[in-house]
Amino acid sequence: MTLIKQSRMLLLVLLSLAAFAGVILLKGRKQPRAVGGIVSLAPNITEILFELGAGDQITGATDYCDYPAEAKAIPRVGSLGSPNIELLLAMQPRLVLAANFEHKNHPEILRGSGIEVIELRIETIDDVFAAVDRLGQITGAGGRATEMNRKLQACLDEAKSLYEGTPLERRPTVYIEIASKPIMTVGRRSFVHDIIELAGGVNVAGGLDALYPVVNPETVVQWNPQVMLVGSMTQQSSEDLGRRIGWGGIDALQNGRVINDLSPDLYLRPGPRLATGVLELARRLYRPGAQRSEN
Amino acid sequence: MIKPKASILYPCLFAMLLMSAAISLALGPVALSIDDLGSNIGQLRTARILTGMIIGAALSVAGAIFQALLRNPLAEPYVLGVSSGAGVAAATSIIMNIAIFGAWTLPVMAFVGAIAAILLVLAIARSAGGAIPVQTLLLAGVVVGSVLGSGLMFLVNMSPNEKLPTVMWWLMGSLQLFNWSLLQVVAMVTLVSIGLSWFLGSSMNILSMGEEPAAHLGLNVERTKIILLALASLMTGCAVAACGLIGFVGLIVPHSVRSVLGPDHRRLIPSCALCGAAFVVLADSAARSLFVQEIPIGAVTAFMGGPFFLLLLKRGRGARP
Repeated sequence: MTLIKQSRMLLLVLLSLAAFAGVILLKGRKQPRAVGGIVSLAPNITEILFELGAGDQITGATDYCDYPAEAKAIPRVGSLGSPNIELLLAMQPRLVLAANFEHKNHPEILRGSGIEVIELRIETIDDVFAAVDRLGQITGAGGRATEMNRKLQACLDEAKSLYEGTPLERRPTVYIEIASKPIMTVGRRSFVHDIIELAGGVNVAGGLDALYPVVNPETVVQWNPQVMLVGSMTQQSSEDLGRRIGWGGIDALQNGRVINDLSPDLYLRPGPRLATGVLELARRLYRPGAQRSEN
Repeated sequence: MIKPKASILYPCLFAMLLMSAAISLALGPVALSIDDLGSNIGQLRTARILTGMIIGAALSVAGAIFQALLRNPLAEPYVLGVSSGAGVAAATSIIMNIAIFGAWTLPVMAFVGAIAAILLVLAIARSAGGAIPVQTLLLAGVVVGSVLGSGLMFLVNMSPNEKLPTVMWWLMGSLQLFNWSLLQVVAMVTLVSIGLSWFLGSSMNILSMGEEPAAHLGLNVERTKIILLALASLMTGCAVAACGLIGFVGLIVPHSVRSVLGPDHRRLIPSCALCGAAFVVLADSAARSLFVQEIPIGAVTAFMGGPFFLLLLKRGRGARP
């Protein structure tokens, strides 16, 4: 290598380093939004806050907080349960609401600098009702919270009215596919199992004492579910699923009863939209003619 | 070391493979008898056993080739950065929801990543004269592998919670295929490659004596190396594309077979193919039936194969390539 080439190379390295340093310094100058607001570290908490009309008090949210659309504009402070602690301290919010913390020392650090931390476990539909009440008190929107819970209960009651007359053994068996690689479904320890039951379905994996078990596709063939619920992102139809080796004979695929138009957020995110999810699922289970997902 | 006649050796190994297939057919979450072969569950399990055989054979033969070619006992199918290359490509396609080839996206991306990594390693190792020095090849492979591996760690770290199981599933390997045509393509490439490398067995014998002696014996060293590299890479790339990363098979099966049957590649290659196939099928039956939830097959291959291999080593029979 000649001397000129070498010095050019060196110059290039120096220039790119300088550019890198500049970008980092400039990025660091971004000032966090107003001090004294609420930071939500879970998408379901963010949803409840917005429903309660407290959306404008949120000054920080996670990468997962994508609903309602306004939530996307809130500055991000990290991922679900693992916030960037420096960013939070710089923000000095009044209150941090979290579903859980990945690092167990985070709450102490925050409290140590005078920030109130409340951990809300929202893992069942009952937890959702309780969280709505609690957040209503915290944000001074108790009236709206009561109203919201009444609406959620109304959704559940409407769903129940669809299947109340059907005896348990005649309710459709449902298989939920959370992920296809590997095949992951819902065991009876997950709230999603309760969602299926609240919608009048029978979870084929209800016998498994697990949260989200990975199962062998043979097991699904053996379960022979009457309805399949798959995420709307994958857009898999009964034809796609029937093309899997050995799956062609499954009852749900023979009869084209694949529900693939429900957003997974409606039944996988323990938030206020669960009630809508239950109702929509019940409608698809008991009025397949009116809400046919295919054709 | 034992030296049975070919007319005894191959039928025995073949019987072993059939027995492991029978065991695998009988074990699983659902009880199955031979009459149920045509049923839906029978189809699923047959597909899985066939996949196991093909992947096991491909990885074992690829490992034997790499060990002969690089004259290094630690060489295995992923030694030239295949795993990290394929891993980066696969993780990218999972995380970014790439779906350009529909159901084929993940295998195609993984295959392209694997082959790209090997070509990069070859391009780095190739000297001005066009020769590929073995030591440089090995070093380039290890370093490219580590660099890509750190990229992979970054991607795993960045992947959102809901994608993480899929990425990890791929990294730990699984024989679950949903697609007959993918299995057909992989089977075809593997069988042809194994046939060709069997044909090149005597060249591998000469090559493992060292490159200079091999050249003196009239072997076109560089051309043979390129052909063997291509065959081993193709097989590894296909295996990785179909089933993700299944470790350890390509390292211990060739060593174990060599320590029992000796280093003659003319019988090592077909024996590796048969033993590797049987080993992976057995490991998968364990992965499938030990617990209700499946265990990643990579964990089983290491857990079952490791102690067996150590036993062979301890008995002082670990013949070097």
